[in-house]
Amino acid sequence: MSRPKPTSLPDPALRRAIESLAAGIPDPGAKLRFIQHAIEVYGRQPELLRRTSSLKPIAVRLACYGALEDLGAEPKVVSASKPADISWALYKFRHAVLALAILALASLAYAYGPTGFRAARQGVETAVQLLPSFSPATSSASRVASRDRAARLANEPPARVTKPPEQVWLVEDGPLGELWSNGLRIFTSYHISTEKRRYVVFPKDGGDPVLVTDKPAGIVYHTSESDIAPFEPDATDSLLSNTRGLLRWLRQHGSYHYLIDRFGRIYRLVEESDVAYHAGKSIWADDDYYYLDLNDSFIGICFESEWRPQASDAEIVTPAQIQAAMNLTDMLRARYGISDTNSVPHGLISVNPAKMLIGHHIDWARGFPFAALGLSDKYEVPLPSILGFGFSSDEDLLKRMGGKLWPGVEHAERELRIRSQDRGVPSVMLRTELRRAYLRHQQLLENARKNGYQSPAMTAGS
Amino acid sequence: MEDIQKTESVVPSAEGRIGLDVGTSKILVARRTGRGLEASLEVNAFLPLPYSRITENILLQNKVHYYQENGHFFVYGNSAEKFASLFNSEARRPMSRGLINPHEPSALTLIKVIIQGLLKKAKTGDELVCFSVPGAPVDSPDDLIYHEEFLKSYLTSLGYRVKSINEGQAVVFSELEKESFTGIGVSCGGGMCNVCLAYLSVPVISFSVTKAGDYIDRSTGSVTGESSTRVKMIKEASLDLTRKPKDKVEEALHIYYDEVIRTLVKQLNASLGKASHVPKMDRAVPVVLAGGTSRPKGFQDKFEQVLRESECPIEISEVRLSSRPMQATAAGALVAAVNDA
Repeated sequence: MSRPKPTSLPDPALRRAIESLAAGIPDPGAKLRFIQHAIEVYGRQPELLRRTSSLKPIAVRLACYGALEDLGAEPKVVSASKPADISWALYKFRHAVLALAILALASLAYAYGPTGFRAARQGVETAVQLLPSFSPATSSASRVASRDRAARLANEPPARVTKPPEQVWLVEDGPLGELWSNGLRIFTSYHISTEKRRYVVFPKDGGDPVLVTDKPAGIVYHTSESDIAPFEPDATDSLLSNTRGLLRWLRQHGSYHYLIDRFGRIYRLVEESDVAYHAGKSIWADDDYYYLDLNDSFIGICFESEWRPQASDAEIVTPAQIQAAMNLTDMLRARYGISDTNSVPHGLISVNPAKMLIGHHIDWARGFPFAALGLSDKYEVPLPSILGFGFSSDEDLLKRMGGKLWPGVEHAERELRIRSQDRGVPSVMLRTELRRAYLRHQQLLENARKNGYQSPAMTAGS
Repeated sequence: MEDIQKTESVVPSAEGRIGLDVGTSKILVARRTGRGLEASLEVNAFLPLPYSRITENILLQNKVHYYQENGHFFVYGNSAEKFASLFNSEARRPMSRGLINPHEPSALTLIKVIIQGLLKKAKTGDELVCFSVPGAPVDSPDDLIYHEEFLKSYLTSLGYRVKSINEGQAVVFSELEKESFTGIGVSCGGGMCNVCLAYLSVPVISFSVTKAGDYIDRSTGSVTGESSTRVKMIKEASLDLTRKPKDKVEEALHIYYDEVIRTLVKQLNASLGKASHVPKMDRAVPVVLAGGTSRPKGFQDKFEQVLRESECPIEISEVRLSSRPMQATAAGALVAAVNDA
């Protein structure tokens, strides 16, 4: 049998002393601290003490007593013999003992000249060597550095600018349509009635859902994704024909409240007081509320156009359409007090709850002419479906968007990460929690619809 | 000094001190409360299930721990194995052979989720977590740095001060207090067996072998045609190594248990034999066994028999089984955390 080569670590004399004292320490943590500290203090003793067999007991006692003192403990003698009492007393008054020793050595030097001085110097040096081991152990625990939230906040999306629309009023309501004070003309001969608008909004502060029965809360902008002829004089017949076909189809389906054709003509398709079926499963939020399934709560405006991820707004819509949309938006905002925040493109609100994914429809997910309509850029807004309800994006959306999503997706993801860090919750857990909240909201919404919005948890609003 | 037998000591506060055992098959948290040591445990496993409303309702009704990502539910923790059995499937592991499973894409998320569920966020900046890390495996080139640094980083992000402890050393801290933390701690877990020889709490040698509980389950499963999950259930429910095996599963379990013990003893002797810094032991030292794999009846006797028959370079006083084999590592990590005042 081969035995491992012995080393000097830790000394058997130290072990015996440690074990003797440690046996009286009942707490495992305290015992461990005592043992480790005694070994450490012993290692700091001058070599002279540790290597000289006659002085080693002193080193051992200094180490053990130092560790005990650090622990706030002291040895209790249970046997009749006294050496431990004496050594502990000597240790307790070690500074005075050392001072006396140094004084005695100095006297020796003075009395015996150069020979005595050399002996005294050696003694003083030894004594001084002992001093570091007597300094009380200090343990300054490092504290966890606080995270630099200010630095993170510096990267947050820019503040939204909300500009109220000008005052707009109805000037003329004739057989061909309406004329509004801002020059807006609306063809009204195509409109139909569906069901009256009633919807529930969910306070962001977690309060009871609120039932709203009168005015719409916002505007959703769409593209028709219908046949689009080139916007050229030679294609006028095709342009007009396409619009007629589109109007017929939309009227049958009650798809939007308004259509803006390629020449900027505006058609009211569904009464503003009624619901149009334009937004499907969708989520948006303003400062106070979450809005789910925006058919009920938002007015749908459709541009006759075909949206493409790489196209600019000028390629998607005509200047006449932009002018018309601006007038229509101004009128609706003035009439219903719709906020800038709640004027939003379809691609930003559409979700797929079955997979908890954003971007189910992506029309106007890029290139919407916000500035031209006097609206702030919603692409920079952290997406409420992600931030409020834990929805996410996938590779398919990235592909459909031409390899790049709008900034609000990343802003929302980043804010979600910050929130999860602040709460000490992994982001997937926070996301799951938010998704459960979405399911609860959806369930409440469905129940409210089923029982005619008579849920007791709901408060009436306007 | 021999006359000093008792010490009046000030007990360090255990408040805000936590021991964390991050094992391949289980994650345990140990705290000291007024009622003594309290440990909470989550199985370190998960089961992905395709998203559907029906499944979600089942999970919600059963109050199962899960999260949702990429069109899947990830059932994790103690429910994972139950649902794996329910869906006739195998639960997956975020860790393999004692370390983060590099082949499991959801590993990091799952470990975070399980730890967070057990620990919560630190309330003050002074709370300290001591977590267990394996020793360097002698039979695998696996790197420990990434595993340890990942855990450190995550626990720090929860607001804790963090330190780590070798898993075998944690067993020494937990079980060899009366011996002034001198002896050999062996933690036989799911993915690894960890060994540490400590002298007055100072680790002298430490190592790990990757043959452990999972190896036994997997090998037994492969030769008997049973799933690893089922083998594990049989092993945990009824295995008795002192009895003759009554069927082919038990027979295989006996064989692979024997293999694990022999490997462990062989590596222990080899490590002790080649280490140049093992201090001279002036008396025999104890060996304490802990971990889920050490729980079957007869394991301790079998280990001692193999160890006594071998040429162990140091004298062994006794081989004993931890009184709390599942909690020993977490309890030892807690002792280390309390020690760090």
